[in-house]
Amino acid sequence: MRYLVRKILSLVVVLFFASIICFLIIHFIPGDPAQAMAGPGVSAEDVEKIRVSMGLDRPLVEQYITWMGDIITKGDFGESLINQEAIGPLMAERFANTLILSFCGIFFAIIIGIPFGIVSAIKQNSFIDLATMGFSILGVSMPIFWISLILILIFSVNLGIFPATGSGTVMHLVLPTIAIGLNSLAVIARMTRSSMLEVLRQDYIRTADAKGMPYSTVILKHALKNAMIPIITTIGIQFGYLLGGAVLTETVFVYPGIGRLLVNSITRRDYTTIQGCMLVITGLFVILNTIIDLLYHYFDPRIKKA
Amino acid sequence: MEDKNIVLEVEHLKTSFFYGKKEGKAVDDISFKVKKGEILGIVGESGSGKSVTAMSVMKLLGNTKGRVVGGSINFMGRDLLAVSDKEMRQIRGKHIAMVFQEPMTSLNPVLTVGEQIAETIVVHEKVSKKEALARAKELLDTVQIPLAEKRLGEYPHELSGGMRQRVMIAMGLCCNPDLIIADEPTTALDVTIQMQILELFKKLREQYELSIILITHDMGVIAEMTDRVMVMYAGCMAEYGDTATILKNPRHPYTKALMKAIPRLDEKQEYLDAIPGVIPSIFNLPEGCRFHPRCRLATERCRKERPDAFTVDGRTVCCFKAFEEVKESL
Repeated sequence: MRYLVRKILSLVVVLFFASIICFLIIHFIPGDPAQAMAGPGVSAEDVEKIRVSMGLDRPLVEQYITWMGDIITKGDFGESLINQEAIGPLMAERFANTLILSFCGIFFAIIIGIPFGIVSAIKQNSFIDLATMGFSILGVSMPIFWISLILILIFSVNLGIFPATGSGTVMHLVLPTIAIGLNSLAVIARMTRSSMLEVLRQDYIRTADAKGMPYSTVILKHALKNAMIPIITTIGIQFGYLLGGAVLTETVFVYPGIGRLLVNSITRRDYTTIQGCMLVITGLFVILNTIIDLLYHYFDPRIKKA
Repeated sequence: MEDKNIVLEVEHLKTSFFYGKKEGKAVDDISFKVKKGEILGIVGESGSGKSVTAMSVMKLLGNTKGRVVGGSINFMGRDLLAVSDKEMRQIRGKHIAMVFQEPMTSLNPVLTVGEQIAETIVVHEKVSKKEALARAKELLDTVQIPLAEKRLGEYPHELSGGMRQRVMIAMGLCCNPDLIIADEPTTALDVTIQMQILELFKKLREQYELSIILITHDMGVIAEMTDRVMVMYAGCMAEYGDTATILKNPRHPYTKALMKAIPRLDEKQEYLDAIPGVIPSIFNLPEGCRFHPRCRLATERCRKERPDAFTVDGRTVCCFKAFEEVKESL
């Protein structure tokens, strides 16, 4: 319980610093936000007016407090500089889409990656091992956009099973899920394999064999639970990567997620939206890591006492 | 099998390790018997093949590069070398249990003590988890772990080395096995705990008529604990027989040297009488008698021929010199 409180406290601290960095971005990026909002050919006075109306003339600390205060108290992330749309609801909608896609992706990666890794480890150096690891190197090496295009080519253009673009139905999710999850699948399979190989050499596995545990129990209970810690870490990192890195997949499949929103905002210099997206993505990443830390507990009782 | 009292009979066991084309003869022609309720000691330096012998009997060499290449292992009338992996899993833990040298790493760190004992009972005896846990508690009492109820819910890292070894023993006992193989069960423990664990083994042997194979490199433990002893050197048997007889009157130069190498408290010794040299690698074994490079009595014959076993006053010896001595004394 104390551990939980400590974790949550550190979560708040990390989020605080992350928010400062997100906030400051607007001032670090070359180019004047007021100017950007005003557009080209506007007089210096008008730019100044916009600056004042946006509060950009006030001290940084005050600006930060206003910005953060609105987010915390009202969930108000401000308005887009481009079309004055409220950022909060827009992000919420996009973000939900990205979450769905990321969850599907990581689920796909875990469901296939872990069994692949286990089989590879227990049949080390066999044909199955070679095939699995070869496939997994392929998975790591193929760029997402390329996988996406190939998938579209095969399953949409040639076979016509799944739609190539858009969102809304389960069918729309299948190809993006595979595209986004394949990389993680490969990484998880490799991590599972190496972690299992490490664990299978341990004395307690020999003990489990010596007490006559069925082979499946030795592998799935005695070995896998011990091997899970590095695998969990990998899954966490991969999931974070999917959340932030869904940009390419979302772009290729014209999927309305937060990655695409962020990229579009960057190209349009929509600073307030960039800030909001960054804050949300960072926040989620940090929360995710905390959840993973808590998951360690389940898998490794030794951490509790530490 | 004629003698119903014999629990385990190993004959001409040969186990080798294979690295590429190289064959390392870790165990080379070992024969021994274990009777019901008897403690057999296997003694020798590190690398003499004691553990490999145990692992061969347990058929736990699967994860290594080792393989039994000859001989037979007969356990209560069953040829262990012929049984399938699945059958062997039903024998291990239920009929033959093993206690390992490393109590610190032999328990699964992420499962509670209770779970680790109970799962063994559940697998072999087909009882409910609840019943198995109740049995686990009794077992912890048997191996004299205080606060057994509380310990069941604890993880191995919360226990001391001695406690963990007791848990390992409890785990070994959980299905009333016929034979326990204890591979240096006290080597990793400090001396007072060692005594307690050894006493425990003795008590259990009497209580359950348990047969025990006790592997050690400590002649003191052999003297204290065992009924019969096999002295091993470089994968071969040096001397095998009744413990009292062998300790009183060792015939093999290696047995003699081992006994001389025990430091004594009642005599002032300037130097410890250690055996010169080291045990050979299994990939580079000497010709003839494997002990000859370190033997003070070695002759030309010892360098060329491997001595056969001969039996004299209730023990078996593999040594030309010892054979000559016996012949002369007749």
